[in-house]
This record gives sequence, C-alpha cells and structure tokens, in this order.
Amino acid sequence: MNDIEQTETLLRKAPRLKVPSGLREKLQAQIVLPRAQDSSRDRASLGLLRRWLPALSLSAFFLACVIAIAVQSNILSGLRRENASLRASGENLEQMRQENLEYQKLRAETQQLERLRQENLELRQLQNEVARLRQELQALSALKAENQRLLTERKIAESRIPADARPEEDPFEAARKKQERINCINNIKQIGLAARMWSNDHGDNLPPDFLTMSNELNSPRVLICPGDTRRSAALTWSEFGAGNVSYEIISPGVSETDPAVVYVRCPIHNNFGLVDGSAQMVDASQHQLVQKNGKWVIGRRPQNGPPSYE
Amino acid sequence: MDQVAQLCRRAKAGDAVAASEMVSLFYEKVFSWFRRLCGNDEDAEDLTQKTFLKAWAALGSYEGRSSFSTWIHGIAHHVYVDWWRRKNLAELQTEAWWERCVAEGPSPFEDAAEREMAHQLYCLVEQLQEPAREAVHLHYYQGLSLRETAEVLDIPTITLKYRLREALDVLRSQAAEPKFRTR
Repeated sequence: MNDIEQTETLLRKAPRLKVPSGLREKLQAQIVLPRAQDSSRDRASLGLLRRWLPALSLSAFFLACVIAIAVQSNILSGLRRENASLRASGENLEQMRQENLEYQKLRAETQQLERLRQENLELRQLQNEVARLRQELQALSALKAENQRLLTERKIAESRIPADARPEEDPFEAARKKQERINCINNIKQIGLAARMWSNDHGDNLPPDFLTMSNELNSPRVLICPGDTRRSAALTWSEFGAGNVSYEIISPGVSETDPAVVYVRCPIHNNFGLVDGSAQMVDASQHQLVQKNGKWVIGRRPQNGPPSYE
Repeated sequence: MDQVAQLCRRAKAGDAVAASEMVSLFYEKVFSWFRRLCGNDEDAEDLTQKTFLKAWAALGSYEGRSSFSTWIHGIAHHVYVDWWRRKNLAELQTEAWWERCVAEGPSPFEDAAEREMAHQLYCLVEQLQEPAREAVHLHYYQGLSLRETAEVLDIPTITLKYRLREALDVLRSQAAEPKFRTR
C-alpha cells in the first residue's frame, strides 16, 4: 500500500452501496418539471437580451457621452460669451473711470451748492429775525417811554391823593415778605443752635465767627437771608467767604451766662438770635438794639421818654 | 448527442418519462455519496431527495456546458454543505459503510488481503480533513474526472490536484504505520 498507484486503485475499487428500496420511486414521484413554454419563452427573451445587451450598453454609453459633450459645450459657449462681455467691459474701463471721476466731482459740487443754498436760506431767516427783533426793540423803546410817562403820571396822581386814601399794598407781595422773614428766623435758629453746640465743647463761649462753627452748621446756605438779593450762598465751606453771609455776629465769643444778650442779627429784617439759642422777630418801629453793661440786648425804641429794656 | 443529453433535453421540454430515466441513472451515485459522507441512510435519503428537487427546479438553467453528472454533483455538494453547516457536525464520524451497506454482488477485490487493505484505506479516508475527504470521495468513489470534481467543488483543477496529492501522501504515510499493517 506504499505505492500511490496502488492506493488510487484501491480507492477506485470502492464497492457500490445498497440503496434503500423505494427511493427511486419516491424520487420519480417527486419530479416537478418546469413548463416547457415558459422556459422556452424565458430563454428566448433572455437570449434576445443577451444578444442585444452589448449593443444596448454601447449605445447607452455613446448617448451618455453625447449628452455630456453637449452639456459641456453649452457651458463652454456660455463662458466664452461671458469672457467676451467682460473683455468688452474691460476696454471701456478707462472711459468709465473718467466718467466716474467727473460724476464724483459734479456730485461734490452739487452737494456744496446744496449746502450754500441751505446757508443762504438760514441767512435769510436770520435777517428776517433781526428785522423782527429790531421792530420789537423799537416797540419796546416806545413801551418804555410810555411806561415812564405812566409812572410819572401815577406819582403825580398819588401825590395829589391823601395818604389815607392810598390803595393797600399788594397782598401777594406782603405774603412773600412775611415768608422771607419766617425763613430768616429759621436760619437764625439754626445758627443759634450750632453756636450753642460749639460752646459746649469750648468752655461755654459762643464762636467768634461763622467759619469757626462750620462743623456744627449743616450748610453755609443758612447764612444767606432769603431777603438778601445782593449776596449768593456758598455751596460748600471751602468756597465760603465774606460775601456769602447776610447775618452779622453782634457778640463774638460771648459767654452763655447771660441768655438775653443778642448774639446774631439780620440787618434786613431786624431779627435777632439770642445767646440762649432763641430767635426773636421784633417790630423795628418799637424795638432796637441797645448796649447795656457793655452787652448788646433788645431794647424798646424811645417814644417820648427814656427807653425801657426787656 | 449522447443519451443523457437527449434525456435532459426532453426533461427540459417537460417529458416526465425522461426525467424518471435520469433519476434511475443518477440516484444511486448521489445516494452513495451522501451515504458515505453522512453516515446514515435517513440523512442520505433526505439529502438525495432535496438534491433532485433542486435539480428539477433549476433544470431550465442547465445549458449543457458541463455533464449532467457534474451538474447534479454540484447541486449535491451545495446541499451537503448546507446540511453540514446546519448540523454543525465538526466531529462527524461516519459508520464503516464498507462493512454495513455494501451492495450484494461480486466483490471488487481479488482476495481477502486486498479487501483488508481496502478497508483500512477507507477507514483512513474517513479520518481525512473535510476538503480533502470530499475531494477523494468525488474523484475516487464517485468516479468524477479531475475537471468535473474541480467544477463541482468550484475550485481550480490545480488546487484539486494539490489536495488529492496531499491526501494520498497522508493516506500512504498512515497506512505504513504498524497498527494498520498488523491488523
């Protein structure tokens, strides 16, 4: 068995096998053949397809190529047309540039002209306004002369009228003056309070000036009397100066021991602030400031005899 | 045109008698092949029926480029591969078909010694790996030519030759071992 040929011979001599009985009949009974007509028709159609397939595929390929060439030719011609138009426009570029420059120049001139027109219009309006103001000024001068004449006439008329028959003062003006005086009293009260607070830390002596008690006063605005139109209030203590105060300290550095001594005074309303911190609104026709034992106090104005003191 | 080709043409035309004759011509070969590969009559019979049913269904596509024997062995090969994959019989052990189901008739062997050697050889064939075993079955047991066997297995002829040569070398070397010689 070492020889290959012998091995092959033995293998080829393999005995036949027993086949089960009835298998052939079973297989023969199971035969299901395809219908001849269908197969021949299928084969015919298949054969036709196979016969024409190369030609059809070649035709389809050529058709696709022709379509592709046509599309590309169309695109190419479009690009050529575009190129030609661009080239033509490029030749006119210099001319267009010149035209553009001229256009820009004209545009600038037009704008300048428009601006000048506007200015001219404004100038005319201003001239009209000046003329109108001049007319009003002339009318005002006439009105002033008329006013002056009327005032003169009024004075003459008032001088002729007896004192008892003169009309009363304007009630609004009287109320405004009263309000100013009340506000002045309030200012003096604040000043007196600040001075007393300062004296508590300085041996019961009131401050010699307003700047000394700047820490105790809220604002330098209270140092301006509402009736004082000549002076203006300082906004801060750093801006404060001699021109920013309406009141005057009558007794600088006075001791608190005598409460009736006048410490501060409003020269406009004749209001007084005393050493005890109170504020007094007195009638100037009946009271005045007098010196008693070297100290300033409020005294009665003498009518027929010697003044009496409160 | 030989007899099988004529029968085939008639069967394609719908002639059931011709188809029956073709069954008679080929069913033994197909069954034997399945019997040797599967190891039992039931599976072999079942696979044979499947093979012929597929053959009738696909008869329209048979154009005669190869012999009918090759064509039906090709179908049988695919049926067997499907069955083998479905069963997943990696360790398939076939029965000693040469002892159990040999057909009655005159023995092909000259004497008892040759028969003994043949049985040993068949035993060794069943121990071959699957591609080589199937090639040996088709070429030697089924009697297909090299070209037909290669066509059935769908491999080049040179590959088939290589497989067969390798199988024969294995068989010769194993047969030379003492356990086989002393049996």
